[in-house]
Amino acid sequence: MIINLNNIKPSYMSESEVSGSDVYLKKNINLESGKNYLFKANSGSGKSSILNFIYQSNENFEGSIQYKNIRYKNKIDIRKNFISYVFQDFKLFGNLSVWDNIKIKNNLTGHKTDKEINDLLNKIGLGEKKDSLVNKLSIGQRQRTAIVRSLCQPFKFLLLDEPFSNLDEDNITIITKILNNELENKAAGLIVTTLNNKYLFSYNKIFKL
Amino acid sequence: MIWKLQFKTFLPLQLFGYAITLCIGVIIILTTYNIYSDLQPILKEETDVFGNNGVVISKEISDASTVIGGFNSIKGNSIDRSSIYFNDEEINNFKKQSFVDDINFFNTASGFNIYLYISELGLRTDIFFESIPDKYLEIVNEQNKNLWKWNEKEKFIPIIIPKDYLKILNLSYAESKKSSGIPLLSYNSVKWMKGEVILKSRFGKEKFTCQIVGFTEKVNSILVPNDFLIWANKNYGDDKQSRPNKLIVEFNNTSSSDILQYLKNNNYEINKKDIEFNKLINIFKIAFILIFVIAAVIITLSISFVLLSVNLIFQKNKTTLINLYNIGYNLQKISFLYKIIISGITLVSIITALIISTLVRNIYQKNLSSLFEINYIKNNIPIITLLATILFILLLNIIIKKRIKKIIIN
Repeated sequence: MIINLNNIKPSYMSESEVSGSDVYLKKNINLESGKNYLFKANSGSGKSSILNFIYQSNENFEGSIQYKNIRYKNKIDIRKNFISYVFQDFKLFGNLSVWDNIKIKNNLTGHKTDKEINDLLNKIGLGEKKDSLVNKLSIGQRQRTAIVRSLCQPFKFLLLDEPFSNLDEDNITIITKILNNELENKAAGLIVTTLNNKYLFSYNKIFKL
Repeated sequence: MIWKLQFKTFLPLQLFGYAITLCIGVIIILTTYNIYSDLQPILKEETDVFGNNGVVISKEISDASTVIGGFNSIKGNSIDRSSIYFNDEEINNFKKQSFVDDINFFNTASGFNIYLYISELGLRTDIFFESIPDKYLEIVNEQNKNLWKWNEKEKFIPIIIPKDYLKILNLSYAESKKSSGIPLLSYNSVKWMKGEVILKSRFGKEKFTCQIVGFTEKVNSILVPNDFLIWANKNYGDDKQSRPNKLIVEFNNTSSSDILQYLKNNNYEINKKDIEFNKLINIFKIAFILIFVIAAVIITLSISFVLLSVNLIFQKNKTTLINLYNIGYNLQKISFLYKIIISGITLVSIITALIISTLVRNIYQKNLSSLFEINYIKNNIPIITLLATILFILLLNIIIKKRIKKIIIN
């Protein structure tokens, strides 16, 4: 799968605001599955926006985004089968448990068995919290829940929006390992946005927004 | 899992309120309609004539008219025949009255003799014929319009007689001819009986077969098809066209006090029972319409209430709906539970209302049957209600889907 970004620019940003960007208003940027990309910028530079444009949860942009080498019906199809996304605000359901939040995605895709989900939860230290309501969890625990949920679907690209902003070093190491395994198994690409200079994955290309 | 999430968004009390008000509204509407349609035969006096508001009006024939004259003239001590006819000016003046919807008149066989023979009854008599426009004949409907048709070539005349004539035939005529073995007759047996009619005048003589096809309590006359009488007057009568002496007047408001005043001022005669009965029917109709409207308002309020309530649920859980859409649930899956719950409640409420209204109908039918002789007609209310419910549920589903779409896509 190739994601082609062509001359894109958030509609709410002026040309001068994006003039120094490696992505915005640039022709034919191809993001290929199997490779890792980092979008780096200060806050307010449209980091989340670029992921939302790719995920089609925000269509408030100029230019075009094309999905090549895949056959898909609509944006729901892309979200279910080709692109998985760990949102910056997680988009979890606070009144459901950790387990239910993960199952609500997995029931849609049937991608993982209960055992595989349990194993993942145990690995990231949420095994004992799986029946707790998400409302009762810390931000870091919520972030880990959202990461496990994102793995419960087939994908060719994984989008991570500031994925480790609330995690400690140990958890970052564990999760990075899990994600790298999943990416390798699926031959999928990774697109990460970050504020800081910590490079947790080996990137094929780094874009400045 | 999505159901577990969405079930938590419902407000059970509001849904219960919707179910109850919808059920009550539908019970009232169905019961009102059932009562109205079941009472129709009583309201119409089970007659084959005058389904609508028509009443018969004629001129008053009194001693006063022979003396005073007024618009009638006199010849010695007898009443001038011309005084019983309505002229064009009088009819037009009547038509202009605000309480009048329409006026038609009786056509009368005039200037020739009519003889009736019914061999089975040993009946041989002079009779008279009159006719009125078909629209006043309940018997003339889509199913049996061929029954009330006259064709010169077929030489057949359908006849409607007053119900009282059958009573006279059974209780008086048959009694006086007991020795001749004349049978007692029911309405149905008379309907099958055929006779012979002969028209005779200085222009010739002609024979027809005839059959009684209906009865009336409202017109004290022997009715034949209008076409036949026009033809008979033209071919056998002296005047070639009959002059109206009885009018059929349709009132738009029988409760108007102006009616009786106008009739009195013009020396017109009316069967007061007719107008009182029409008043009663109108009061009934108004009462039914009122109840119907109240029930319709209840239903409308209940539907508006549930739509508002659903909208409130959607707005309150906007983030949940958007998040579901963002993690890959499509509109169909997100709206499914809401559609199922609202459709289910609607269906259960309306079916419950249908069952209750049917039970109520059975109860009052039993009571009415002990008071009146009514042939209840099987109505299509259950089928119509179910079809309307399906359409309504489809409409609700479209509304729910559109509202969710508006929330998650914008």
